[in-house]
Amino acid sequence: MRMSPAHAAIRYVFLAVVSALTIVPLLVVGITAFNAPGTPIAGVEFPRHFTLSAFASAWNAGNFASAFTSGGLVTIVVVVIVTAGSISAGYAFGTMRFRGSRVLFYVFLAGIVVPYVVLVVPIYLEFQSFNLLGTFWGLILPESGLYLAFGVFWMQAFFASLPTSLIEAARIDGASSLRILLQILLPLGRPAVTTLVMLTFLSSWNEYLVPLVMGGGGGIQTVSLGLASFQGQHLTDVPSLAAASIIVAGPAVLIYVLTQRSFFSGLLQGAVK
Amino acid sequence: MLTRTGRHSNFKRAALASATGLAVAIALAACAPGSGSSGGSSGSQPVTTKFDTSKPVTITVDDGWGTTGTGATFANVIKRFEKKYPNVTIKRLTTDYNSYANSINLKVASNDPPDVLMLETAGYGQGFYNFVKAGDLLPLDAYAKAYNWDARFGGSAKLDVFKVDKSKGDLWGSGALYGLPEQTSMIGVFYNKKLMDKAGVTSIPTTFDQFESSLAAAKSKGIVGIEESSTYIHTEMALWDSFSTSAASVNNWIYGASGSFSAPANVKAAKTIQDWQTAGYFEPGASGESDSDAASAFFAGKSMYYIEGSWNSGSADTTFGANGGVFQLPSVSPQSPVGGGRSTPLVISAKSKHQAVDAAFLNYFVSAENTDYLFTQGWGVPGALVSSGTQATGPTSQTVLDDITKINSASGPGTTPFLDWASPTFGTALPAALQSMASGKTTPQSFTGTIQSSWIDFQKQRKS
Amino acid sequence: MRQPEGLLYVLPPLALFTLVILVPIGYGVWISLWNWDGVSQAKFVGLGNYIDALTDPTVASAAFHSIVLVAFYSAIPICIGLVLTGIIARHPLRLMGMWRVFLFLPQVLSVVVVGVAWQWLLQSDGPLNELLRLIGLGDLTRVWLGDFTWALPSEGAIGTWLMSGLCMVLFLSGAQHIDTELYDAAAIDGAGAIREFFTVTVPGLRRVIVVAAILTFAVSLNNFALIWVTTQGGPGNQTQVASTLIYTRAFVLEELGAASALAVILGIIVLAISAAISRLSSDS
Repeated sequence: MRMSPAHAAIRYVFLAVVSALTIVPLLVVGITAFNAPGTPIAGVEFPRHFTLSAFASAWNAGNFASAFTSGGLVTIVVVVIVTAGSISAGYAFGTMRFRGSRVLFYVFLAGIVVPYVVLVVPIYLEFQSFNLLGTFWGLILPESGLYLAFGVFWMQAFFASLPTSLIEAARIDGASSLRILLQILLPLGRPAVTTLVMLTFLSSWNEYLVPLVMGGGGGIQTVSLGLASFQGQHLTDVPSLAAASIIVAGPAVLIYVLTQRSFFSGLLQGAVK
Repeated sequence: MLTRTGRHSNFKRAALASATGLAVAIALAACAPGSGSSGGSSGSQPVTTKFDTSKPVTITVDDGWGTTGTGATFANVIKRFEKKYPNVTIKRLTTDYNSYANSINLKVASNDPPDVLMLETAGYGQGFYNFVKAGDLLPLDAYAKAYNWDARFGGSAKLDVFKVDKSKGDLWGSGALYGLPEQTSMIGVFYNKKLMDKAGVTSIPTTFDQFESSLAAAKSKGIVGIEESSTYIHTEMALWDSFSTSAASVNNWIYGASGSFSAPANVKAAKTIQDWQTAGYFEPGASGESDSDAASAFFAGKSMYYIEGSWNSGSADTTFGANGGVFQLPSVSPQSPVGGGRSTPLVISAKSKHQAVDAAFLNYFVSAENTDYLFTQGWGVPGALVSSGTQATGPTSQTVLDDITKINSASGPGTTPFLDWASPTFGTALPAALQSMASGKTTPQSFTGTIQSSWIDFQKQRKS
Repeated sequence: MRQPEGLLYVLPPLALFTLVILVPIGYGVWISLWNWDGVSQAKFVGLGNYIDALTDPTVASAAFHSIVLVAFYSAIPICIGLVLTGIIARHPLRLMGMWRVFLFLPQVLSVVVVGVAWQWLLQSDGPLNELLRLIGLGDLTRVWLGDFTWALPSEGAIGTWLMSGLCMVLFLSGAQHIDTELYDAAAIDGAGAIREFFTVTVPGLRRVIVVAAILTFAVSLNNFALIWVTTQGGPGNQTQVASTLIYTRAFVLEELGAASALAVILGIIVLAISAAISRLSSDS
């Protein structure tokens, strides 16, 4: 059924409208960041005196230097642990049969939907007894465990999608399972692993509840925590809030835009297949 | 995705696995949650006003003043203390006022609590009461004697607000001392003179009728009468006090001795809030406006009045100067009390390993040198006595100091503490109930009745 | 061929998972049987916390609010995504990469950023109200997140904004995998655009819809951060939902037993519904 030119045009109109509804609210907030801190903003307005001073003042007042370093450290370690663990378990679940594999896989799956708020009290108490509250591992371990659920599911789906003949052939050649994983299968999994790394990075970088409860109230700072605390002190200083938001969202959005091609190809392959 | 075959047996196996995991977890937890852990102080440490100034020592100080405004001043106080005692390093943890209370609740009970804390409540308020009850706070009587802190406050009775008698069913108002206040406050009506002129209000209202007329005048000129925050508590306090004829009638209830939240003066106060909201004397959306939002709005010139605590006097001086000020809500009698009093104690954890250093910090904080410094930095009126002749930051701070001195004098009407100190749940229950009542969803009578039942339940529980 | 070494690959992540997820689940169930404030002696109450939870009106209203938000976070975005896909997707689109970047952007932001941004947008002197005044609908302005009636729908609207882009991206992509022959067959049968939508597009997207449903459902119950940053459950208790109620009971009121009981109930509900959703999908 051919499309009439009118239909073709309408499609783009709809797409444009929906995209605008998605982006414009963010832009409206974003432009206020280019006013001087403390400038009262009434509704939508372009900055009268374009300045970057709000960014400098927000960076200092919100203690974002510490948030970036602490939060960055936590995120990097979480990404490493989750990626390694997901590849390992996903490989096993996706290509091997062994006792308990079904049950264990279900156990991981359940972790995907369980809301963290359900676990927050016992995890807090557990880590309190290990004296890990307000430490880096006190953030890294819970986040890693949480994201492992999705990671294992994701990598299992990838490994299961590989042709069994590939693995069989390598096995007949006498390759160990580890060799098969590292030298044959993993290189094929670049898009899947890249997407996993991106998603884990985003989740950890943006995480709020875990640092709120486990961070020791000002002990370890992450960017989301810093922004929330900043909001508490500057609730009506719109330029500073907008600047702080841009500071917090900046790295994630930048990486997202730069890697969007491979990110989406990996993401949609896995989710939509 | 997952195959359908064997699903039922898989569920059975999964259930078995989970049950085993659960059993293991329970076995690990063995006894009742929390038994055998925490509780108890870190052994008795000798009470001394001198500590070894040659050894480096680090203490943690936790507060909810944030990094700007009051928080910046407190950061300076810490720096000045560190300069005085170069071997002491203070690690300060701070977050914004609204999230602070939640952030310290479980921290204080942990094995590694902060050494010195600021608490937003005293009395039976959530936080102070729970910590005292659990033995997490260090009794300060020995240090109070060694440092003669009573003199800094004008007598031991002035610190009764921070005393709890654990031998009398955690009775508040007597017994061991647990904290020293950072603020002496009064709830007053801050005003914006320029807006008053615009509304045609030529003089400060001295009777309640005049006050309400001024609100009506503002409304007719399209000016917001009172910038109200969604907590409503301080407005309720101001009204209940000004409709009462003595401090005792209100204090008896707050202290848990007798009296009722449904006293006619308080029902009238609740009704007044409801009437004012219906009449549009508050800004639209008061039920959702946070405390800091309301403060910023008033100081941005968005309303004529702002019923709040005198700790805002510094901001009033810097923002309005001679065009601002504060007056007391007109009352029915010269003996009507004023809300506020000494508040926000600094406390020491019972588990602190450096109690002498912590006490030295507290001592420095309430010293004449620091108290005067705070007053000149727009802190409000500090908890300890300000030396006479100290320069106020402006006319409002001076007014506040004079008024508070008069109120707290022997012949003055006295103050009543904050309403949310009457029970640990009131910090969250009161604002929610007030929001409903103010919007007309509940009647003043049912509002006061509900809170009164909750108060009765708490008193029973406390004594048991 | 059985490969027992598979267990070795699974063990390390499983160990971490056990420590951080499974043991806490067990411990949480254990705590839910006690009255405990985290500090003093705990008092065993058996199923007392559960009975309290199921008869507490605050819990009931929080449950109701959560259900309302599920509609906003899950049902509405899925519908929006489907309708949009129905209109757009039949033929290849140009600049698909660019549209995707825009539509998916909210997912990349921290929820705190979303909360901070929307809090200002919905303020009484914020852009939404100003827009309403500009187009002559000044009567409709209100303090959205502070209004008793509108706070919850406003939170819902933020959720819809947040999740619609995700659904759209998923469905648009999934639609590309629908066999065009099915559309041709429907056209031959004389089906109009709407019939086509219901008989070809939606069934063809079935798998993706399930993924979207589970994802959005999980987010709608796990939205603590967004609510906490914008309204903290207020005004009154109007935006108190399951996640904020658990946090409040645990860390504000220090009723760890009651909070754990609520958490267990929530966990069971989430697992049951997710299992049901995924069962519905594979039973085809």
